[in-house]
Amino acid sequence: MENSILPLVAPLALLVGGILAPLVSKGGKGMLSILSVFFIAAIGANTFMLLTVGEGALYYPAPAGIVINASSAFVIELALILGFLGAVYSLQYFVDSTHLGAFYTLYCIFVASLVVMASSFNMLIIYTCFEASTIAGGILILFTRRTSATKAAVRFFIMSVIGALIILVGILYQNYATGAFMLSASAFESLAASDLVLLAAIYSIGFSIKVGVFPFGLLWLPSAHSEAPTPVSAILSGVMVQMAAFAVARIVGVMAPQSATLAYLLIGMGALSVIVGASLAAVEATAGSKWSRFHVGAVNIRGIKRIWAFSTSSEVGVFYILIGLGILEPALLPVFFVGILLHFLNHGLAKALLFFDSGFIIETSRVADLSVLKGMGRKLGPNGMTYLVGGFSLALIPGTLGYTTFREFTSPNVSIYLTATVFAAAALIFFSTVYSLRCFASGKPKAKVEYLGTQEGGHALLRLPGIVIAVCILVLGIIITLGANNIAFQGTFMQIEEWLEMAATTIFHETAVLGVGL
Amino acid sequence: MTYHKYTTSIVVSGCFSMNGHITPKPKPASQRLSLIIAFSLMAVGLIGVMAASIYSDFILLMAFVEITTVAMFFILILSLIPAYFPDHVDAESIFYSGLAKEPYMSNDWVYRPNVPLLNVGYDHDWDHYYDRKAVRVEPQ
Repeated sequence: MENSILPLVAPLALLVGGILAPLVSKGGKGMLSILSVFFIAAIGANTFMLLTVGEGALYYPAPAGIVINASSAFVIELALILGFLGAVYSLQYFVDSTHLGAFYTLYCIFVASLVVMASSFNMLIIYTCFEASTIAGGILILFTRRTSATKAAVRFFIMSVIGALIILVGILYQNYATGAFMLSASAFESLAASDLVLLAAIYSIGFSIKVGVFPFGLLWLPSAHSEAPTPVSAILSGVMVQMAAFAVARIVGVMAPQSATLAYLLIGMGALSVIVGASLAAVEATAGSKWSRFHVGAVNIRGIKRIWAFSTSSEVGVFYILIGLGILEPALLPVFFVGILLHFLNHGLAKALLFFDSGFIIETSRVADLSVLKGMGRKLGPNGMTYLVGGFSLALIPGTLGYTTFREFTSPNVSIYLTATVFAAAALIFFSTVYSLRCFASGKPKAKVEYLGTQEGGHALLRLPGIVIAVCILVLGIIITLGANNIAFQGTFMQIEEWLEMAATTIFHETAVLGVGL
Repeated sequence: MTYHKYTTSIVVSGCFSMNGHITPKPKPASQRLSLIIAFSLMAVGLIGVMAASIYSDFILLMAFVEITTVAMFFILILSLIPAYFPDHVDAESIFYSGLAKEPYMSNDWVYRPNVPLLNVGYDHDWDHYYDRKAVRVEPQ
């Protein structure tokens, strides 16, 4: 444990950048330039910590506040990189830069709150950042300026407030029972087993609303993630819900409740989420919102972004399954938590990619409904391929990062029923990807669709994030697939695996050296 | 419904606009001030919660949690819920001498709520999930 100012750099850089950018510059490019400097500073500081923190931890100013260890640095790195790509994407996404300044400020507050949420073992800080991300995220959804987006934002707010109230009950109960707000194993030692299970259940249910797990997630997630501006959708799906799942893993990991009932409850919620979400994604792609439901728009559509919003509802179920399995078999907790980190990486990158590419298609074709989308053919360019890479990664295809989740669910530690559930969902996502891509390339709408002007326009920045992320997914996916099967890159693969095993311990402990910490 | 732009001007939440364009009615100053105060209190509350939790001051902590929660509910009630469930506006109570009675105008045209918190007009071009300015869709 080491005292350092570094854990503060990323959140402060984001806050200062977000406030300074619209004050210094009125133009979109100027704002992005300033913001980029602060994002790069944040990423630089976090990368340094990621590479140097090792088995220890850095904290500021007291261990009860912000603590950066390997797992925190890992998830924050992903949040910052996706956040930066989203900021770049936003410049061309918002053609009218009138509200871009306000958007950037809120966007930075949103990402900063998620960063702090991942870097604390203090329940009150986690709770506060949970609330801050709700407020900033809810307002960001409104930037689409559609009436349906307002409905989606209100749902998001109401459900998040309900979740926050349940968590608040948990926090007060924790303080009453232990006299502390900190998540540390020593604080929970004196607690009776039944109280520990009850407290873990309260937190798991409270956070499940924000995570978007079945059944609560369906009430807000598909509408909020699809109605939000695309860069926000990417962060909501690729980062926010995952940060909430990370918080659940941290809480449950520290408490280590011994209850098969709680384990089966979480596994059940996760498994239902996985299969229902993937099924609804396929229904949305083929039959539309009339059958998939949970739509806030005035007309029935086959929403391009709704497919991936339902898919998010499916993917977050994997986190709950792994957490439930960790409770069921405490000895294997670090193994399942390695799976959580890898799924965090896989789903975060793939989902952000799919939203960025979906947004590119919507902005280029000016259509967000597959039913009226004319085939774009060659206009898709490299983003047709990147879209496929993202979909394949979620469909657990070897050669992509999805292979990590494939390995996790084909290990002997996981029941065959859970493996079947996850693979069935992967097959449905594979189908949704290919089917939607076919519509993008050569869709023939039943309605007569006529373009009123030329659709040529500068969309280079909208293409960029998808390409960058697809390259990352492929490079990491190939290394892991070849390394795990002893074909090539064995050394690199072993290093990655060792580092992840160490980092998984730091989800539920301040340092990777058990016994050293708070 | 037919809309004749020379017959009457569009009215937005009770505001006349002589050029035929939709002009969102600005929020009353008192309402805007309340919103600013609520946001400021929320920011103070959030920072306070962090500081109090780091320095383990339970009483201050609960006070800041309370401030944050109240501010958040206030924002929700002041801005978001009213926008979600807008009041019915009677067109005849706005127009003088019944000049804007149907078929020239309906309540649907008259009431134009703003996007909550952002205080800008809604973009209705995407109501059907395609850009009405760029794409024409005719059912076959």
